[in-house]
Amino acid sequence: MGTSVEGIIAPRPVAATPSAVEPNLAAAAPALPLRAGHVVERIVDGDLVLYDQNRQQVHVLNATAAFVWQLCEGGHDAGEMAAALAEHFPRSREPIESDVREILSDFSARGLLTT
Amino acid sequence: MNLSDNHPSEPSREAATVTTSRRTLVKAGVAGTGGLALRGAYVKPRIQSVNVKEVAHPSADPPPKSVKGGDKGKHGVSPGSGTTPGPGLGVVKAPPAPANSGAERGSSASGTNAVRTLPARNGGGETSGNQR
Repeated sequence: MGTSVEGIIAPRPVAATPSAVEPNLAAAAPALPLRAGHVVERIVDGDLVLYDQNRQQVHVLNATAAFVWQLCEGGHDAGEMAAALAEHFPRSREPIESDVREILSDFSARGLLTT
Repeated sequence: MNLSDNHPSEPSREAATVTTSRRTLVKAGVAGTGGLALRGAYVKPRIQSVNVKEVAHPSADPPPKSVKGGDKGKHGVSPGSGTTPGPGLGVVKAPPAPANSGAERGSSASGTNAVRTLPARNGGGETSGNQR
């Protein structure tokens, strides 16, 4: 089920001051999000780093975003992902689900998901 | 789709993956991150992006600049096709040219124009005088 994220790309030098990459946050994520094929993954210093080969952008995800990212397999919707995430945290499900939907929209806006 | 439902009778392997139990989904999600475990308090999912193009381009800029410079240089030469106005003022502007290469050209057949202008003023009498 899980996709290996080890040793896919070599780390590239990144500017010390990240430039702002402003996505269109209004973009709606697909009902069953699926990771785009042109995005490669690697763990760097405990963070999941995504490299978009088309846009030549590097995205650094925190652990929660990485958790959601790994569930973007085209078979789970936001509610299911939120439910899976909620199992790890004794917290109300609603804010988690809204966060999941938000990050999914973010993924989609940045071209990381297949449309 | 209900994640809490398991359907062992599902014929499709893909369907079996989709209908994984929530517990399996959670474990797989953690395992899929390759060691990125969810620890501590809940943190809002975040993503930070960096444009790699802006990092890679500076080293590649110098070559294009030199190419552009070369083009401008060529344009600068063509307008200076002073060879065209040259013949019109040939008598006046001819002397500077022999100063550098005039001696060599003068001895060659191509220096006939320059040689004709100079001896007409100075060389005519002197050369004849020295020879004599």
